[in-house]
Amino acid sequence: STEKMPSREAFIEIGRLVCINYGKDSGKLGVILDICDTMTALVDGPNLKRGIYNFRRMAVTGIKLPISKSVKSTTLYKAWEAADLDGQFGKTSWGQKLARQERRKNLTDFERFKVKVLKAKKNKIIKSKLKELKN
Amino acid sequence: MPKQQRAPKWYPTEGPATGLTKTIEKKPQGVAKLRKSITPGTVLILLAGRFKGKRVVFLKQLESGLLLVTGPFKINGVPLRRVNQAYVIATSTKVDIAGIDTTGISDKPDEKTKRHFFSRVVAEQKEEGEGEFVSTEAKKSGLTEERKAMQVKVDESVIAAVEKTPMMKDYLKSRFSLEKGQFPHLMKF
Repeated sequence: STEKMPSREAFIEIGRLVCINYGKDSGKLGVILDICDTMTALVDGPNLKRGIYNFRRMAVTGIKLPISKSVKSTTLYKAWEAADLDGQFGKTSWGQKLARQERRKNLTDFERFKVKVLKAKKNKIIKSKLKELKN
Repeated sequence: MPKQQRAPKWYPTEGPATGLTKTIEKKPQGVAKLRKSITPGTVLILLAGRFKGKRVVFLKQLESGLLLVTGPFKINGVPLRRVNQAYVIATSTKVDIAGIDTTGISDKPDEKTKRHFFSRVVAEQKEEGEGEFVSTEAKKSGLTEERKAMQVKVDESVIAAVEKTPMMKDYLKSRFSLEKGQFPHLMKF
């Protein structure tokens, strides 16, 4: 059949952790609290304003919270802390990539200089080792 | 036109005083306010002039409002120099220069001599010999011994502070430039 199976059990459902990936909230995590219609859902998160977000603007993670629909923000944040969603997401390669991007964006001029120098040093070592192995 | 009816040859450009004009006293402008991000020891990136792109250490704000900076001279060739705040990017990197004595450096003209630390000194010209159009001796630099001595004295302490942080010396040695994909308004300094 032409049906495409999801690579993992990550559906749009109540309690699903999503990462907003478009717009001014891009990079922020939220949990789906309710499905409004075929294109939008009610999403809330500690760094996110509780509101209706389009599915097109979010990416579904593999993490889920066991909450009931349309819980209050305070209840959600308690459950969030209890499950340590930030930590869980941070451990995933996706979360680590986002953290790395954020770190690189916020490098100071001195740090940028150090990165440049150390990267060149590292590449020099790798190149010389590679040359050694080739010979 | 008969002579009596002609306009006079000379007449004042402004009419008689009406007593309705207001003279507003100009307020003294005052010294430029120092940006919060610039404190003694801050590494600054110079954006214009001979040393553009160089990273220098900020020492203090002078009486005229200009910033006193030093390379240090031995590290990147920037001497004790005055720089306008507007042509500078302040980085968040600081060098600990607490206790550095820069009281001898000021750009307030002395009342008697009308000169200050940074006043230009006219280089002495050696007398040209017969038939020579260019003096064989090199022109003496316009630097006074006072400035040279002050440079050495101040840089001693700055360099000592710089060497405490690893890679800081190389950082000050290098010039700042934008690479592909780098946009100043998206960068943190």
